Amino acid sequence: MSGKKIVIIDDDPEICDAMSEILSEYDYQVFTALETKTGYQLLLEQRPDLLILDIMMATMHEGLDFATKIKEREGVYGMPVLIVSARPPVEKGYGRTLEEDLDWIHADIFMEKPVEPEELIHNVELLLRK
Amino acid sequence: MKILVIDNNESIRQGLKVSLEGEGYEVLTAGAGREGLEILARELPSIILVDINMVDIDGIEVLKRAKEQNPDVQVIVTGDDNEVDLVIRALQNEATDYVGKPISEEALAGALLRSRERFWKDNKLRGYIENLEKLIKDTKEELEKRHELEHNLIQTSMDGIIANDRRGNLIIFNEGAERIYGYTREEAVANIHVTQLYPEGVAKKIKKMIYGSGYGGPGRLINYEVEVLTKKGEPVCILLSAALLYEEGREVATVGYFKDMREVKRLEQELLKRYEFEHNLIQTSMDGIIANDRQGNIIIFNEGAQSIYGYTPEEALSGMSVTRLYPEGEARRIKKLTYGSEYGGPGRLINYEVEVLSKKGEPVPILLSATLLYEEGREVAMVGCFKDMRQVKRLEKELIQRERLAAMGQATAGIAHGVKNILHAMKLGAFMVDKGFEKEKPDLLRKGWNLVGKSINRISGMTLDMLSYARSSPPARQSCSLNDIVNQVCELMVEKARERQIDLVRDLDSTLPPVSVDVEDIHSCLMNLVTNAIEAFPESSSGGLITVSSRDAGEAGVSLHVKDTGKGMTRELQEQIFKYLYSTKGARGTGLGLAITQKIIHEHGGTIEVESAPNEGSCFTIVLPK
Repeated sequence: MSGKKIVIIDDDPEICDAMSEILSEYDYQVFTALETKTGYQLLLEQRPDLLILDIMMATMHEGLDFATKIKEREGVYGMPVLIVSARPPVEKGYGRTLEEDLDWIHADIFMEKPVEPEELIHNVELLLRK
Repeated sequence: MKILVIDNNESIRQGLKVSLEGEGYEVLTAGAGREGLEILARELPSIILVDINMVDIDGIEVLKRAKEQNPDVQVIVTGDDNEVDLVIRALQNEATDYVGKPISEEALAGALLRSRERFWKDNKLRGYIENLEKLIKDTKEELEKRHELEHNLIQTSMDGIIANDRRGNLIIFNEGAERIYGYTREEAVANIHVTQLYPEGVAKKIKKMIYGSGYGGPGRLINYEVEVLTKKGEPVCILLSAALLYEEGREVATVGYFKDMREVKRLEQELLKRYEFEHNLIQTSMDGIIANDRQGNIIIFNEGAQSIYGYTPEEALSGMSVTRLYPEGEARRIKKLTYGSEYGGPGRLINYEVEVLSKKGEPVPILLSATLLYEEGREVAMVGCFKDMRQVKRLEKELIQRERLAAMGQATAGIAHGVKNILHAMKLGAFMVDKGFEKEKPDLLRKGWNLVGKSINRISGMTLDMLSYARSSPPARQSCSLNDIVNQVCELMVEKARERQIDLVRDLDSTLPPVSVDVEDIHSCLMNLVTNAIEAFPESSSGGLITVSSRDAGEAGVSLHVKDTGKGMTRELQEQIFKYLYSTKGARGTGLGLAITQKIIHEHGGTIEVESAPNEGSCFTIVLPK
């Protein structure tokens, strides 16, 4: 499973660094961006196997719109998207149950901060095994 | 005196003319009857001397026509003495005299004398008669006019006028009486007895009163209220005045003036009703209504006032002074304010918030409106409308409480969000520490520990920010130069800016006057604005400019400007940025920075504004008073 590419888009450079360090320990090739514009460039350049996206970036909508755009381009069996957010999933923007929301917000897995690193690793592995 | 001589004989005419002119007459002559009549019509002579035998019209005919024309003219006929029948005819036709021909001087003089006398007599007599006739006519006319006037006066009087003779038969019954009673004049006069106009026994009683002296003296009755009976038998209230009429010392009639009181009574009732309505309005008003006279005595105290104060109206209206309704000195202050113009104009006080004192001595919040009442230009009372604000104040308090709770909820959510982000980083850091130990990778361990440390710093920074936002103490002001603060901040931040390839430059006004501010506060405001300016540039950008400037803004005070050439903001975003816990920085921002900055500037009596456009950069301007 080594050598798989992951792109992380998160506006917090500390988080980007830490995630990068941790995922590198599991032999993933990690690329980070602090905003969606440069993040999109990375996606085009690197053709990653997974996108980890923080949807509380500049504004919530920016993250959600970005996720929608990516999933539309990739299609259902395309690159998986893992969303990490500080907002609980029941709040405005992605209400209802998690399963329903996964379609709606175009994410394969949704995780609420603070995320247990072990779980994150587990979910990353899950998505990349497909 | 004019005299006309008519004769066919020229010499007789001339002879008479000469002799009569000698007597002092003005003499006109005519040679024929027709000519004589023409002159007669034109010249109006007083005396005519005419010959009875003339060729065209004879003397008798001239005499007749002359008398027809002017009965005053005196005609002397001349002719043959022997023709007696002619003499008689002449005298029958009102000739003044007959003088035989040839005319003797004595006979003519006598005839003329008689003519003159008769002329004057006739003239005067007719004048007298005419004068007398005119006098009689005028008097008659005036009498008729006066009678008509009196008749009309009686007939058209708004009041009923009824007169009866000594036996009680009606002799006058005017239109006013018709209106009151419903009888027509024809029905009433001579047909109705005066007693029929009243309920039984009343007419007699009235008669007695007229003769007595209790109501306006004997022979008179003045303004006596009585009920009369109409044709339909309905009672009508009347104000009656009556008098006895005498003719040559003998009582001949009684005349009464009947004033219909129905309208007056109706108005009286209406007035009473309206008074009651207004009284009720005042009494049942939800607001307290209190009025006091010029001496300060309470004169109106309604139920609303009772519920505010706890005094009963009886207590308040028994000489209680209005000053007792307020804490000491307040009543006088209100009076002053009412006379003044700052609350709704002189003589008025509108929506003035005041605390009054209840009977128990408890303060009650009131919204007071008052006005001075005038009567004929003189101030007579002051009336106040007291709105009980206890309920409103309670609701206000509840609302504030609720708003506070809502704000707390919002704050908690914001804090939770910030804490979650930091916690997330901390967990990642701790995981790295674990892995570092496990795999004996000191580098990973160090990085992880570093992240934990940073997260701790971030959480304490956030706590301090929140504390400073919640701070309620006033700024510790001291006189200082804003330029000094700008310099300190810029020196601290210039390095950080350079790392991002941003030039941080200063443009300071060296003549800036010192201001009295809390140095630490303004320092942190400026730090916040400069930090924001640096973060306004996209990560990927290379190069940028931040200018911090100071200016003397004249009367407005002193201004500071932080201008960047970064990504700028939309209008919607500009409206959000000063909100508590609003952030565009995700995990890096607490959403407190600008909220705190704004709070500090406001505490200093200053203003903070932003001008910005997307992709053009932003400029924050702080103005502080001198």
